[in-house]
Formats: sequence, structure tokens, C-alpha cells
Amino acid sequence: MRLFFILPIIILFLVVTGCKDETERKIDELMQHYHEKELFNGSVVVAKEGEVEYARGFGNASHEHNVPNRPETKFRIASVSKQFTSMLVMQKVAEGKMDLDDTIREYIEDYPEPQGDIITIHHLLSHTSGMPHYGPFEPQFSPDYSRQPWEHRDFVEVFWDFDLEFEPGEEYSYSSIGYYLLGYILEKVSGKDFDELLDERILHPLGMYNTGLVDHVTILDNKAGGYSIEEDSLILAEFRDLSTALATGDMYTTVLDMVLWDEAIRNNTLLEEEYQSLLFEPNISDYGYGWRISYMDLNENDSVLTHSHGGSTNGFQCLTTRLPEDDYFVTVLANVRPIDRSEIVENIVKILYDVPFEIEEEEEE
Amino acid sequence: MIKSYLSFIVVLFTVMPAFTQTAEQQIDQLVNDYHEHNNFNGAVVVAKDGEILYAGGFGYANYELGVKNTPETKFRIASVSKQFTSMLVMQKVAEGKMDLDDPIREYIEDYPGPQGDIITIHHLLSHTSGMPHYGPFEPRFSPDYSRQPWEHRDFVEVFWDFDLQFEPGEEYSYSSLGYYLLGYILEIVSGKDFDELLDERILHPLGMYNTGIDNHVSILKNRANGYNHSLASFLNAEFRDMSTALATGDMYTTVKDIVLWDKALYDNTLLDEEYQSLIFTPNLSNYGYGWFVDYRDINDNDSILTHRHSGGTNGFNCLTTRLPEERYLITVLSNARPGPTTGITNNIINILNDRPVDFSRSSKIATARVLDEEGVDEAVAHFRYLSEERSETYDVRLGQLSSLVSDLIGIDRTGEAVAFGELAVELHDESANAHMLAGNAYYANGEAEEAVKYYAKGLLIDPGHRGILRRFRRAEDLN
Repeated sequence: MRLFFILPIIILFLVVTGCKDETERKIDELMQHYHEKELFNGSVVVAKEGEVEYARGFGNASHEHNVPNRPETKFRIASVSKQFTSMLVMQKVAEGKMDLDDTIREYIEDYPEPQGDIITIHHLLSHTSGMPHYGPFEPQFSPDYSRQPWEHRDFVEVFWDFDLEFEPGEEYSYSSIGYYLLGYILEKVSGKDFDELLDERILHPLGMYNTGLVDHVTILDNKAGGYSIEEDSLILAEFRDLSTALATGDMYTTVLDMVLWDEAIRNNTLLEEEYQSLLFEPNISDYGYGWRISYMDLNENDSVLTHSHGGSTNGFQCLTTRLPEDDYFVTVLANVRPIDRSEIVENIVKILYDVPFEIEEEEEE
Repeated sequence: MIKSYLSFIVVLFTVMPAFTQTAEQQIDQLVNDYHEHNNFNGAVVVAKDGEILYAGGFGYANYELGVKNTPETKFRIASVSKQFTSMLVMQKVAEGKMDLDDPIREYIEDYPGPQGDIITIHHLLSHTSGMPHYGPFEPRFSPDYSRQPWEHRDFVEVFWDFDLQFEPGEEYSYSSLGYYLLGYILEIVSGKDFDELLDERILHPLGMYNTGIDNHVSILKNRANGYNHSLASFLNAEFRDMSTALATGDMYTTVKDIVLWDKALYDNTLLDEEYQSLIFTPNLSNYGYGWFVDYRDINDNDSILTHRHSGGTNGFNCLTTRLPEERYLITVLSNARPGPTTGITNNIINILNDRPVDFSRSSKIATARVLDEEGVDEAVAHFRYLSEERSETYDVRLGQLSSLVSDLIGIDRTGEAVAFGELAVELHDESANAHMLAGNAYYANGEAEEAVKYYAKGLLIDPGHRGILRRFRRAEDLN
């Protein structure tokens, strides 16, 4: 049996000037470091005011064929899809076609009681409905449910009478099936398939032509394969039929397309500020509607406001972070899971703010 | 001066081919034609006496990322796995560890009766056990069974009491479940996992390092993704968990590795001739053990002996053919289903026997390309034109329209399917199947009443057509 020693090595990133090239160089050095230590395989983008300052791919989109990741590579973004869902809902609210205080029953007449009568759209958006996450499916969510193709209505019926964890509105508890339900409600309200609605109301208007809903059949140029590290070896991720993910986690995108999305949010392109502001207003805990609103500590004295959301699914993991006070935008999309998303993004942000930081590095002997 | 020499040489080379093309050049031209006009996507090898005469890759191993197929690309080979299973069984028979006349119960004590007592190893190897193919699972084999992970024993228990179709030994009926069972029996007899046994007894001794049991988790360098043809392009194939394919269809290989396997069969490297000959001795319906053994006509006077087997699974199909008298091997592996493996193989046999090539371009693909670019009216006109003016170059039979219509229905473009269904009736008004095709298109398009009319017309032409009768009733119910 081989012995592994963990040697903490401290790498100090020296603070020099805030020069743009220098910033880019430092981000590149940081990402190279993570990649070389096999801690990151994916693509990264850093933008300011909608302009890409740094974009690069690391490692392979396909390990079978040694095809490198690029800024144009498409990754599954899992729960980062929720911010698109909340945007679509708020568009309907702005148009008067949905109301945040409406109960589920307004949209799905035969939704069981008491859930259907006491859970509102607001509860679903803010994860305060009391609906569980995937818990009640376990340990058999994968493979019994996740590999099968589902009609959206049929999948909703599987979970719609799960017991609530608390009275709606009383607490926060992250629930992906709540967002699945929002997707299904959007389909009912619009009379359109979710992907069609997404295309029409967000992707097409913004020119996000490299973003959409994943299925396992359509051929997408530059689509990355998903991988996992299990027991120290790299394997292909388990199959998941994305019909179990609808509006809660079935999208793919590129780091470059995500900059267009950030730009649209900054400019209220898709939604008036009156409604858009609700996306970024924390409810219980730090969760708005599809976004977390929190302060990231830069050092003992300073912190910076962030709007962020992570995503994680078979073979993919990501984190998107907006720094609205200074119009920075940072997104990392990975196709090898797991990665330490928060550490990577925090260190990039520290570079942007010229704050010194340390990386603890594991070394093998 | 040099320049004029060069152009002389260039001219010489351009003039030569028509007369002096080597077999290798002809094969390359042939497969390129299949690639360009019929969307063949895969790899091909032709060998003689274990030496490669020709090897080529066509199209893409991965369309998403633009990775090309090469002779080193790994493909799933589905039922071509059965010839490896039969070899492993015969090795055990030669060692006295299994007996061809043993019933299943010798190996699996609690196998239910009567099946366990009356089906022998010989029956399983020769597809004469009476066990069904996937029929009893349908229509739910995919996705209910095929996407799930199975312990081999558990999957055996799912099918072990399926009714037999006939008394074992009386007839031939291809059964993949029978070979799955052989794989499970080999695991019991050897005390090893099937992949370990395969490695130990075949792959490692032969140096087939690019062959093995596929699964959806391991990263295999150069593994092709599997696709299905859809109009002029492709879709990714449905997921299948390979635990449902043990020993009956779970292997991958390269065209180059298959040549090593062929050579081992000529040299009896793995098995004495006394036992190996049984693999190639036809039982009922020309099936040996894991191989079809039959004579193919190459012209009016001659026929040649072939050993062959095809394979098909989600996104892949293939055909491997040995011509033992001339010691040729022709293997076509495709990662876009259905790949034209039979046409390519037959034409390579033609080339090797100095016979003319019989190749027709796919009118379906040519029409689908027009459909993509110019729309349905132009595409219908294009098919009509190919039918009337270009039938010497293009295959314009009903099957081409049928494939086009079924692709369109599959991607919910049912309005366009109707246009081609009507064209089928226009071009083949005497054909019951053309009417069925139009009926199918209307039915898919939600026009049950129209569908009924076409099915009725089809039944007038061929009153005994059970497929039409079934659809007629279904459409009438809806109507």
C-alpha cells in the first residue's frame, strides 16, 4: 500500500499592480495551477461590464479522444438553470399571467391537498415551500428514476404528495423538485414546451445560440463529455435522462454565452428593474429567486456583494458569480466532478481586487 | 523543366485508374462512395491470411467534437460477441469442464423446469433451444429493462421461465437470451467474471489489446459514440446498460484487432481443430456455434463458402465475414445505425472476385439533404426526379421513402412525412406497403380518418397483410 503524505505548500501570490494584463496573467497562472494538480478540468470566464477579460479552457472535453476544452465548449450547468427559470417566471408575473401569491392549485387543478393550496409561486422560487429535495427518492433516485424518460406531468405526480418538511414560508430548504414544478407550471401557463419558451424569451433575444436544454439524443457541436473522479480514478459519469431535470437543471451553455446573460441582467434587457430586483432580494437565508445573495470576504476587513449559484450533476459542476458593485462576472464550468468551485472563484475574485491569498496544495509522495 | 516532368507524371496517374486500379483502390473508392452518398460512418478492414490488405475509417467517431473514425477506433460489436462466447464454451468443452449435451440444470441447480432439464449447451450455442429473443420483454425492453444495471443472475431470473417456442432441438430461432445464459454459465464454471475469462483465454493470448467488454463508465481511448441515422444527419443513440448484454452482445473492438482474431481461427491458436470445427459446422438454418456458415452466389455458376455474423445495438451495427477457402476476412464496423454493412461487404466480395460493383446511391439521403436546405416541396420534387430520371444511379425503391417517412415521424415532423407518404402512393400505386406508409404518416399527423382510407386501400391490394390490418384497427379505434 502506498503512503500519501499531505504536504501543505504555501504559494504566495504577490500583489503587484492592478494592470489588466497582469490580472489576466495571474488568473491564468492560478487556473493552470488547479488544472495541473487535477483540480480543474473545464472552462473559465472573467468579464467586466459585459466585456470578456479572460476566457480559457483547461483539460479535455473528451478524455476518450483527447479533445481540449475551449471557451466555446458546451457544459451542462445543472442548477444554474434555476436562474433562467426564475427569469421566465418573473416575466410572466410582469405580464400579469402569473402571480407570486398564487397557489399551485391555480395552475394545476388536481394537485393534491394540502400542498396545492398552501404552496405559492413565491415559496417555490425562494425554496421556502417545505418541499423536500431528492431525499424521498433515495437511495434509488439513480438508477430507478434518473435513467428513465418521463413525461413532465408523470414525474410531477411522482413527487407531488411527498410530505412537506415545514409549513410553507416558515423556513428555507433547497428543493430541486420545486423548480421542476415551476418548469411544468410555465409549460401550462405558456402552452409551450419549456425549451421553446426558454428560446423565445431568453436565448434568442440575447443571441445565446450556444445555450439550451440538453437531451441525450440531439448532436450538439462542442459538447463536453461528463466525468467523475471516484476512488482516485477518472470515469465517465452515470447516464441521466434529463427529463428528470426540466427547469431545475437541464441546461447546457458555454462560458462565453454566460457573459451575454450577465450583460442582459445588468441592462434589464429581459425584465424591468421593478420585477428583476426581486430575483436578487434575499428571502429566508440568502436565497432570492434562483440566485444566492451574499457577501464574499476578501480579507479580515473587506467583503464584496455577490449574486451566485452553483450547479452539480452527473459529470459536471459549476459556479457562476456576479459582483454587481463592480460589474465583474466570473463563471467556472467543469466537466470533471468534483471541483472546489468556491475556492477557485474566491481566488479569482481576490486577484480582481488585488488581495493576496494562499493556496493549500496537496502533494503526493 | 522539372515542372513539365511533374505534370507528365500527374497526367499519367490520372489516366491510369480506370484500367489498373488495384483491388485496394477499388475498395477505397467503394467505401468512400458509401460514405459520401449513403452516410456510411465507421471503419472497414479487408485481410488475407491474417495480413491487412485494406483498412480505413470514415466519418466521425464523435460528431460533437469533430473526431474522425480511423482503423484504431473502437466500436461496439453487439452480437459479433457471440463468436467469442462460443469459443470460450468450446475451450471448456475441450478441457472436459463442460459438455455439449449437458442440460442447463447441470450448471444452475435451481433453473426452472422443464427448461432447465431439456435445454442443452448445444441448443444454446446453435439457437435451437426454443428460447425466445427479446420478444417477451417488448414493447418495454427499452427503456424499462435496457437502461438499468443488472446483476447477471438477476437478469437470468427475469427470463428463465419464459415459455419455449418449440421443443429444444426441433427448430432454429435466434435467441440472444440463450447466449446471455451461456455467459452466465461460463462465469459459474470458471468462477471468474466474463470479462476476466475473455481476457485470459482469448484477448491476452492473441494480443487483442483494443478489444474488451464495454461499459458506460470506463474511459476507453478512441471509443466511438453510437449514432442513429436521422434524415441526412444523425442523432445520438439511446443509452443501454451493458449488463443486459453479457456474452450476447457487450464487446467492443477495432477492425485491426478483428484481424488478429481471424488469424487465430485459421491457426487453431485457441482451440484444437477437432473442437473448433464444430463452431463452423452448420446445425439448423446454417447456424454453427456463434457463426452463420453458408454459401453465397457470386455469379450464375459459382458460389463461395462464408462464415459470417452481424451485430446491431443502440447506435452501432457491424458485419464480419470470413471467406475460408480464399482466407479473406471482411469486417465492417459502423457507429451510425443502420450502416450499409451488407452492401459494402457484398461489393468487396465482388471486387475480390473481379466482379462488377453493384452500388446505388441513397435517394433518401439525397432527398433529405434537399429537405434540409430547400424545404419539403423541393425535396418531394427531387425524389420524383431521382425516381424518373436517375434510377440507374440511385436506389429509388419504396424502402427509401419508408426510411425517410419513419425518420420524419421520429422527430415529429409529421406534416412532411405525409407529403412523402403521398409520394409513395403516387409512385407505387400498386403497392400495399406504399399505402401503409401513407397511412402511417397520416396517423402520426393526427389524421386517423385519412389513415383509415389508406390502410383500407392497402388491404384491398393485399387482404392478408397483417401489419396493415393491425394498423387499420388501431386507426379505426381512434377515429
